[in-house]
Amino acid sequence: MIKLLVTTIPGLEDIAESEIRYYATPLYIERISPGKFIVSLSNSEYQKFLKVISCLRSVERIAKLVLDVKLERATLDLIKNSLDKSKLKDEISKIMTCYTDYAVEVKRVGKHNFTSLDVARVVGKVVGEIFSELYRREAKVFLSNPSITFHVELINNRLIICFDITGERPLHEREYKVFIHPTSLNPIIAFSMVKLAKVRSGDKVLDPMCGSATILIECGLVYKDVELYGVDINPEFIKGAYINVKKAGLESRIKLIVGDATKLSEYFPHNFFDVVISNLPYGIKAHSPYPIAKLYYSFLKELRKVIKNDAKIVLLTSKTKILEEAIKRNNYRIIETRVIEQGGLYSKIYLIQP
Amino acid sequence: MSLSKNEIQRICSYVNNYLLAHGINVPYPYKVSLMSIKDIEMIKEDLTEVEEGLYIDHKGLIIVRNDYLPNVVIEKIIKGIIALAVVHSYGKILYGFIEKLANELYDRVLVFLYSQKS
Repeated sequence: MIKLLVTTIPGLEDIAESEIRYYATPLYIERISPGKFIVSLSNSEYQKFLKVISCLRSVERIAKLVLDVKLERATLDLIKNSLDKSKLKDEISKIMTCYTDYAVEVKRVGKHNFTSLDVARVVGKVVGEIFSELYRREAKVFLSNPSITFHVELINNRLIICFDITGERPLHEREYKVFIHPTSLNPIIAFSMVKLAKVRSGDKVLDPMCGSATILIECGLVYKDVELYGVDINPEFIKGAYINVKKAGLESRIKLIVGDATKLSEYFPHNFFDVVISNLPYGIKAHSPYPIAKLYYSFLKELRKVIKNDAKIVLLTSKTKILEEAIKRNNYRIIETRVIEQGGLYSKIYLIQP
Repeated sequence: MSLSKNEIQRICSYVNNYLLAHGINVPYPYKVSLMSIKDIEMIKEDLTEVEEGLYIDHKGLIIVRNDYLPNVVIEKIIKGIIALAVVHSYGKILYGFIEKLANELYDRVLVFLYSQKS
């Protein structure tokens, strides 16, 4: 049995879990902290799963666990004693030669009376001892550009040591992202919003404030038979979006329009869209020509004209009170909400219907 | 999406060292080339097919189709190096041996490739 540590955006764990279940049959999945869970796979499933890692769209990183211990208490002595030397020796002999240098990187969650550097020192010392036993020479620690990094996660009382197997770059770095919008949306969030909208084949999908078209591209790459439309008021963003769309090979399927999200009925017929997905401007980085409250209200009012009666609308914002007010005033129903966290900032995804 | 030169070099270096440590000689130097199906079709006659999308020639060339997922390409390069070494050492392709050894090496190579960054 092999255990993998999977990292995603906190708040989107269920979407990452279901994507993993699509590609593999885990023995079990255990959530260990926001945005992190452990997937346990049989050896044969693991071998198959390794080949499709780069296909995952809702996962940030994947690491192979070499040690997973629940400590009685998190103290440096207990951490040191919990390091299973024979298991570590086995792993070290597989991936390190006598010339391999290494580093230890520690991430801590919870309250401890020691620092991450203290943990790195304890683990690093044990790795060094095992290395010396194996190769009869001193291990070389190389912090700036190591050949191998031992990733240590101390989550409250749980100690995990793992090796990253994601690839050269984290999985959120998509190849189509040539043009970067100033408030660029993480493609993992874009993909998850598409999943939350439960897009069906033949649907007409709109992003009325599409920016660099990340949502539309994610949707187009997953669903081959949907019609995709993007609108943005800024011609420069539409130019950039087209570059990304072309890079993704979707130029024949995504239609981009320079236009105002509060005047959608000027560009599209009534009762046209089945799904609307958008990352609304928060008014922090990209200055909108409208005050945010007015924009949200006018946009939702106008949107009613171009969507079908059973349309699904998925919106992301950090201005939750303003959006909820606009939803209420325009008589939409909130079906589902979820809070997501990105770099310490919290925003909310809303699934609403007319 | 394909592999970088650095990734391919690291795969070769790991597999070479492993095979040498186990007494299997890798013919050196050898080349790894990622090619389109169309290009492979043109030179296929002079190559030995190890498995779908993976070819070698006995002078030291490994050719892998470039339209596979990156981790599949990695597996095929590992198999290609083992195949070259096996042909060099035993004069024939031992398919079962290549498969078994490649399975054993696959996740170790991934760890070696991607756990380097701090």
